[in-house]
Amino acid sequence: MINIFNLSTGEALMLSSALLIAVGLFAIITRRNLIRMIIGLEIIATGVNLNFIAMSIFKHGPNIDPTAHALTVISIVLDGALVGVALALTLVVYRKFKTLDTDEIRKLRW
Amino acid sequence: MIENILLIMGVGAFVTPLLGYLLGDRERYLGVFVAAVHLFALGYIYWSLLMRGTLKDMFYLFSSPVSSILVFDPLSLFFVTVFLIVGFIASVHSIGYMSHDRNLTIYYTLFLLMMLGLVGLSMAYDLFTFFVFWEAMAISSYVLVAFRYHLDEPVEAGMKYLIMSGVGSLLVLYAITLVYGFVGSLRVDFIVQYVMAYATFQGIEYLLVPAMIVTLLLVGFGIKAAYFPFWTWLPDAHPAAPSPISALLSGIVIKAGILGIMRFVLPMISNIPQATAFGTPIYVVAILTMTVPNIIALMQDDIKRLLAYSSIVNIGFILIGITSYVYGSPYYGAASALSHVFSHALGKGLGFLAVGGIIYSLETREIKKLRGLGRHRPLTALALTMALLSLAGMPPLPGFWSKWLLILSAIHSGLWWLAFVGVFNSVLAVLYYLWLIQRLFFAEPTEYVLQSREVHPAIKVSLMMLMGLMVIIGLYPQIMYQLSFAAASVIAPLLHT
Repeated sequence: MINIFNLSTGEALMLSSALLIAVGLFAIITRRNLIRMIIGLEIIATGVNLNFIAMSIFKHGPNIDPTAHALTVISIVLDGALVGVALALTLVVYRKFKTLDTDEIRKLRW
Repeated sequence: MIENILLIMGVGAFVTPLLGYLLGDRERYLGVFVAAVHLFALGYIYWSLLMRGTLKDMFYLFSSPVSSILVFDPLSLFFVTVFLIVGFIASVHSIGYMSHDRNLTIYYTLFLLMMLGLVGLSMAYDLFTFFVFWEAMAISSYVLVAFRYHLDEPVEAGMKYLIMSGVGSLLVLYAITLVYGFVGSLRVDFIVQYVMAYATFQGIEYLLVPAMIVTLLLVGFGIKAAYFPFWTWLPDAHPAAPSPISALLSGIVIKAGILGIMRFVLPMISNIPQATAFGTPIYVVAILTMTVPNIIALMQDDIKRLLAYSSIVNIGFILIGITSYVYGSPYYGAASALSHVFSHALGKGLGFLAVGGIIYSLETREIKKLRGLGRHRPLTALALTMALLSLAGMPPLPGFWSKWLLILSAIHSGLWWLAFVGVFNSVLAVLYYLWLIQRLFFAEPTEYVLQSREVHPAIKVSLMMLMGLMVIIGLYPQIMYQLSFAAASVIAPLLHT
């Protein structure tokens, strides 16, 4: 059994990143507003990036492994591109349908 | 050097906007340039391989200071060939099909960026390089699906595709972080060595982390490849995109998920002694992916939606090969899955391009308005018929050769039920293909068909090129088999070393 009051930094970051991913998935599954779904997507992305750092600490202790940090920076840039496209599409959706509710934007099932 | 192919595609993608600016109102002719880039890249690969001598046993690693590693082995050669052929023909088709649209500079730039992502994917040898090209391919494809943003359907479908596929990419990235944490490297060969050592020296309870990594990768790649629980985005996104993009999405973009499974997941699975524990879910998923969309496809009245459901069915056929890889005949399993990737890319590419020709001349997608098309638009009807017959598995066409190999590989690894379900679904699919062909040729023409306009010559040229290629591959299946067996030999022998 894990003692949550006595965690190392790496373990704490790993747990919190798992928690963030769970929160993001929950947001995408339950929310019906497009903006909230995109926020959920971004929360997952943050959790995943945090996990990179957590794994670097977990693996190498206090010594910093530059690979993980380099990869995290690149993946933040990619998330930026993704959310840019997502928000642009959301804008088009709003102009077309005058709503962001995925239940009302229906020809498709979500 | 072969890695320059990425440079060719990249330079093409960055020259395209400049050229579009110079062309101004005549930007629809950019398609010629894009097609030339594809043809040049394809010629460059084969020319430089011929200069080096043999096509077999090639394994060139290109490393760089930032721990990003590219490889060019037969698996890369196979996927690059398939991607560039379909990309070339779709870009020729675009010249005609997109000639009435605006913003074509953006269209062709994104087209080349997506192809750059796909070519990079097939050459990536470590997980993070793979992920970067994956995102390049995915983000361009979201925009391309929603390209005709003045219509309702593409915008909705693009949004849905973006959210589902975005979650999939992030799950892949999560698996990559776990691999980084527990293996310490992202290279395929190091991961495989690690998994082998881990599985041999430690008990089954230590398999939890590899199992989690494999599950996350299978879910993430599965959302892109659209197999059983994750295919809901596909029947919306593929019909909504412009037809050349549908051909690319159905023909090659969903195969990128299969490529990820082939390159990273299968070597991992096959080196765990308890591999069949992973086999059972893949077995069940393969059966469900073949059967459920096949039944739904019977009820469609939209021709592009029918072809989209048929794509999911064919991903199920590819999973037969992957299942028999896991269950003990890795070489035949991988080779049959790869040859079905090849034949489905050609067949479904031709199918969507022919439908593109039909939409160009009739401006409708409803099957009941297409009756009697064969008498007035013989070329497009013939192309569609050929695509459907190849997908159905008629003997002189490539679809037959790959399906035959798939069933053989399933039987070779003792999966009689899977082989039976495969044959059953093949027959079920023939039902609606033949129904469609009967509508095309043996019905009285509707008024829509009688009033249809002439197909653009670029569309005719692209259809004829792909039909010629299919006849060649159908008569000489050795070409397809050599490429796919060489590619299979890259991933298969890892099981016994």
